[in-house]
Formats: sequence, C-alpha cells, structure tokens
Amino acid sequence: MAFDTPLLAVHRELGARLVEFAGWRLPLQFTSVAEEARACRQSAALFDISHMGLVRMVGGSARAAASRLVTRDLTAIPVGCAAYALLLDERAGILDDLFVMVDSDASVVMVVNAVNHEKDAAWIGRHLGATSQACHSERSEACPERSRRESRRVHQVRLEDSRGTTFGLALQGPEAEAILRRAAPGEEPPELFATIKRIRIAEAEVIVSRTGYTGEDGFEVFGEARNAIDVWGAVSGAGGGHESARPTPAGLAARDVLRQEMGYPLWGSDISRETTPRQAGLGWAVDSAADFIGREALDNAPVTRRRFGFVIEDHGVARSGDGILVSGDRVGAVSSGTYSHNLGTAIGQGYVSLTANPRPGMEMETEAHGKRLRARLASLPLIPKKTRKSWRQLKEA
Amino acid sequence: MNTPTDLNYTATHEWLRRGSDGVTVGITDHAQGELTDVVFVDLPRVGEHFGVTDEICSLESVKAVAYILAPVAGTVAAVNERLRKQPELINKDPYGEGWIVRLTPDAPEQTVELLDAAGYQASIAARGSTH
Repeated sequence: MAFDTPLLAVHRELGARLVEFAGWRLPLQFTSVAEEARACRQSAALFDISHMGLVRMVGGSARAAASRLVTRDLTAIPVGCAAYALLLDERAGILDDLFVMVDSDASVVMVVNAVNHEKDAAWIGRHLGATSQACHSERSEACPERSRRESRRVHQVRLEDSRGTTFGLALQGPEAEAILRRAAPGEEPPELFATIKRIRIAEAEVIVSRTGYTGEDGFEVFGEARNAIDVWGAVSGAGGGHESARPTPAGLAARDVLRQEMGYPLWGSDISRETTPRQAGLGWAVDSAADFIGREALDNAPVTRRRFGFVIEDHGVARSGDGILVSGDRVGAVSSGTYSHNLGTAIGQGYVSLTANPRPGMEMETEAHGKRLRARLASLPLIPKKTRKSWRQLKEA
Repeated sequence: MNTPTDLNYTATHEWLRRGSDGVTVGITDHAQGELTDVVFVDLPRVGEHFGVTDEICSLESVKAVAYILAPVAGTVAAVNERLRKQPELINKDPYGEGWIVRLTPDAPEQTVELLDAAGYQASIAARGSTH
C-alpha cells in the first residue's frame, strides 16, 4: 500500500519529479539537486517530510514508560524539549533512530522513520503491554521498585498512531527563522535546538520543533493532513514580497545529500539491527543513566568496527555495498555515498574494521566491480553544523 | 517530459540522431530526470569500437550510476568533451548540448530495436512513470 503525501497537488503544480520511498509517493527533486542543496546551505529550503511517522504515547506515566524503550533518559528531558534517541532490540541492534518530543509526563511523541513506522508502533505497543502485564500478574515481586498504583498508570498508557493522517514539512537554512516568522506573524517559534512549541500557521495548529536533518538551523512542522496545503502555502510564500527570500522547494535527493554532508545516518543504509550505537558512532545518544531494552547487550558488545566518513579524491562516486580498502586489504564497506556540490567532491560513509587502525585523514580506496577510487577517511560532519545551541548545552553550561 | 519526434529511442533510455557525420547518442529527458544531477561522465576514447548493447560509458549521478549501451555497432568518432567539466549539460539540455558520443556505424542495420517518440513514451507509461 502506498500513501500519497497530502501535498501531492502542490508538488505536481511545481513540476516535481516524484518517487516512491518507504511506501510513500514524495518529491525526489523540483529543479536540480545541486540548486536545492545549495539553497539550504545559503538561504532556505522547504522539504515535504509527511512520510515521517508520529507515534504518540499518551496517558498515565507515558514518559516513564517510553523511557524504557529508548537510549535516552526521558525523565531528564524538560517538558517542551526533544532528543535524538535510538530504539534498540535486546541484542542492542538499532531498530530505528528517532526524535522523542516530551509534551508532558503523560505525553511523548516519537518521530520515526517511514520505513520503520509500522514495525516501531508494533514493537512499542508490545513492550508497553508486556511491561504493564508483568507488573499486574506478578504483583509487587516482579517489579519491586514499582507500586501497584504506578503499574496501573503504566497500563493506562495508550499508543496513538496517526499514520497517513498527518503532514510534515522541514524548513531548513540560515533564513529559516525569518521565513517562519513571516509565515506566522505574532507567533514565537521555539528558540533553542531540539525544543518544541505548538503554534498556529495559516490558522492551523501545528507542532514546531527546532530540529532537522540538514545540519542547518531550521524547523520541522507537523500537523493534520487536511491543513498541509495551507501551511505549505504560508511558509513557501513567506518571502516578504521578494521571490529570492522564499524558501526553495527541495526533494528527497537533496535531503539525502545534505544529511550525508553532515554524516547523519540513514536507517537501512548506515544503521540497522546489525549495527550497535557504538559501532555507528552514536554513543552520544545513549544516556549513561538510561535503563532500556538492549542496555545490557550494548554494555557487553565488543566494538570491532566503526562508522567513518570519507571524501573521494578521484572522479567517481562510491555506493552502498562497495568495498573499503586500506593498503589494498578489504577492511570495510561503504554504507552511503553521493556527490556533494557544496563540497565539490564525492563523499560517503561506511564501516571500517578497527584492525585497520582507522583514523581521519587516512588514505583508503573504495572498490566496486574492480574499479577503485582513491579517498580519505574523514571525521563527521564534513560541513560544520550550524544548528542553534540546544537546551541540553544550556543546561550543562 | 520532452520527447522530440525527430529522434529514435531505445527501451534503455538512449536517444539517437542519424546524420551525415554518424549516429549521435545521448540519454532521454526522462532518464536524466530519473537519475537526478549527473556529476561524472566516464567518456570512451575516440576510435574505440563497440558492439550492439555494449557498455559505452557510465554516468554517475547524485543518486545512482547508469550505463550507456551502444544502440548501434560502431566506432567512436567523437565524444562531448564539455561533459568532463560540465556533466550537468546532460540534465539541462539532454538532446542538445548534453549529447554524449558520436559513433560511425559498422552497418546501419545492426541496431537494437528502435522506438519512435510515441513508442518510447508508451514504453515508459507501461512501466509506470513516477512523473
């Protein structure tokens, strides 16, 4: 079954080339990937991210229950704030990477990958149920730390899955805030990175999160599908009368280039159930105080390979699955690769065995069908991050 | 999608134009759109010979790699040198400045099955275009 973005008519009018992605029909590109990716770094780009799944846990002690499922201690996140987190299986394999928004003690929204939406919702539902059932059947013995009253509250947590009924858009780039302010006069957008607010745009209530997948300052906006076209219209037209000040509509192809420039992983390519957070270099998204499914396996899992970025020095592009060679020996594999017009070179990321003693700057080659490309390992991101200071940095300062 | 009626097409998205100087080959507007931005073109050498459906060269785009297959058997008479510095010409003007290679055919009858513009459009529609 394929979902159409609620913005399909708008994209058609703009002449977008559409593509099917994770069961959704979405714009691949509007004009050219280079122009769209450049606009995002230099002014602002507007992406349709209606495929992103919103899974809400609501009621009772939703926040505490959700905290058992992800690598962040959600009880330590202030209300109105969000965090990047990982959903792990019992073996510490990555089921998904997501953003968790804390609305209140009784409401948590997880923004999940489209390709995992259904699986995530099922996993979360199953584990929410398991937690509360165990507490009920075993009375206090199975959960000595939890009173019966609390366990009943856990049981009251509901899962709301709004698949196909919401829209999302991402407004990203140095001009994003000015554009959002013009699109929503009188409203105050969230100020810090990874904070959220409910505001009105074009009279529609939306959740605005100061987050993104591009490394630029910007916002992700979620709301009800029926308001998608009005909100897109208000944001895309908010150029203050100047065509050049409007955000450039951008597609999935530019979004993929931008996230690769930042070294952000794509689930299914760069991270999966076969990778652990530490292999992926995502240990920073695992709170030391957090207790979650997969914690024990994660603490005991040896790290034998690490995710790195690379920059290609030859004329060619490495693709997922290509070999990574150091001194002629195959020591890893490419997980993502593309060409960055912003950097003027082909780039990518992949996993390298620690036996090769990998470090940034090290010479390597990629290999596909007998063809080798000279490259160098690089630390990520490849382009400096321009996001605002986060609530977490402010708290730690 | 632009599909000029004065060209021949292949089911693998090449176009060809027959002239007194040989057979000029490029990729279709549909194909360049599917590929997204072309970033490298691995051009063949002038004088190289290819049989029908041999791989003439590869195109690397932001998204994928694609191969140009020889629609006729022949020898490379010319390559579009501008593509080395400006591979985006394939996206901007696929039937004009974005031409890729010119072949001197061995024998005019040695070709893949060729389609006219309507036939090519029908073949895309049958495969379910996403445009």
